[in-house]
Amino acid sequence: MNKQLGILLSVFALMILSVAAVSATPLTAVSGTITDQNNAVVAGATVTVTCDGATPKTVSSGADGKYYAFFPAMDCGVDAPVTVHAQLGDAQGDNEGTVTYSGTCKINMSLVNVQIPEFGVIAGGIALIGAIAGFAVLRKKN
Amino acid sequence: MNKLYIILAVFALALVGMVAATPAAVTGNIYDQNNANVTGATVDVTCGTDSGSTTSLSDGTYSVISDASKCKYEDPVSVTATLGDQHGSNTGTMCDANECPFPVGLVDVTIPEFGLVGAMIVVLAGVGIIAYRRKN
Repeated sequence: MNKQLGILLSVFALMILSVAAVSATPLTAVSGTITDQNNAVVAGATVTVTCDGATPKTVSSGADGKYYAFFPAMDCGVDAPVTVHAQLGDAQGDNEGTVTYSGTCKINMSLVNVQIPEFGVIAGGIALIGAIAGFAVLRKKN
Repeated sequence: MNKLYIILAVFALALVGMVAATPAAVTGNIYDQNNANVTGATVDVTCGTDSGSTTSLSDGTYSVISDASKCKYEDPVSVTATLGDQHGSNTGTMCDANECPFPVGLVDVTIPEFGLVGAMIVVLAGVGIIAYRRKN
């Protein structure tokens, strides 16, 4: 009798365990803000997002400079590397991130902000110095 | 000159149209009565004033990306999954603004819907029959 009861109880326990199996996180969201060299938001930038083995996604940044790209979690899971390329006209920038699980949101997330042009300040500085140097050289020559 | 203004206005409108809105994501898993992943099920999602359809992937997951202006934080969500002549449905609620940077709803569906209930009825009936036999 006790043996039978034991078997019955273990069968029930197994049934409960199988029902309580942890469901997989189905979705990964990559999002962020695109800004220019003055930290102003950039709307309408073309944003290309790659995540691990998933097919890359191309989206546009919104009026608030934000972009969102979604991937199936099976192709772009936790710890997967993310690269984001943003472009508007000639200005472009890149940044990288990693996928993590968001406990409050119950999906995977990766926050990657991109500044375009990436080397705007440096490039602008070099251009300015170059222009001053060129002007000085020309002036000396004449 | 007027023509130029019209052209500029059209360009401005085209740009506004191109700018993406904040999304809302309804996602989840489709299971059969044995808790196995169901691939290729047709999944219909209604959230707020928006609705969309997709097919479950090879790992049994689905995702429908909607617009946050139609499928808002804390909106009710209903999901129906169909594979052949088997159906299942479930409901949920979109997360609140403190939980996610955009509305997200996680709704899992089991098809057929009453698989678990059915199995329990069968088990109860079995127990009943054994009890009846013992009594006699």
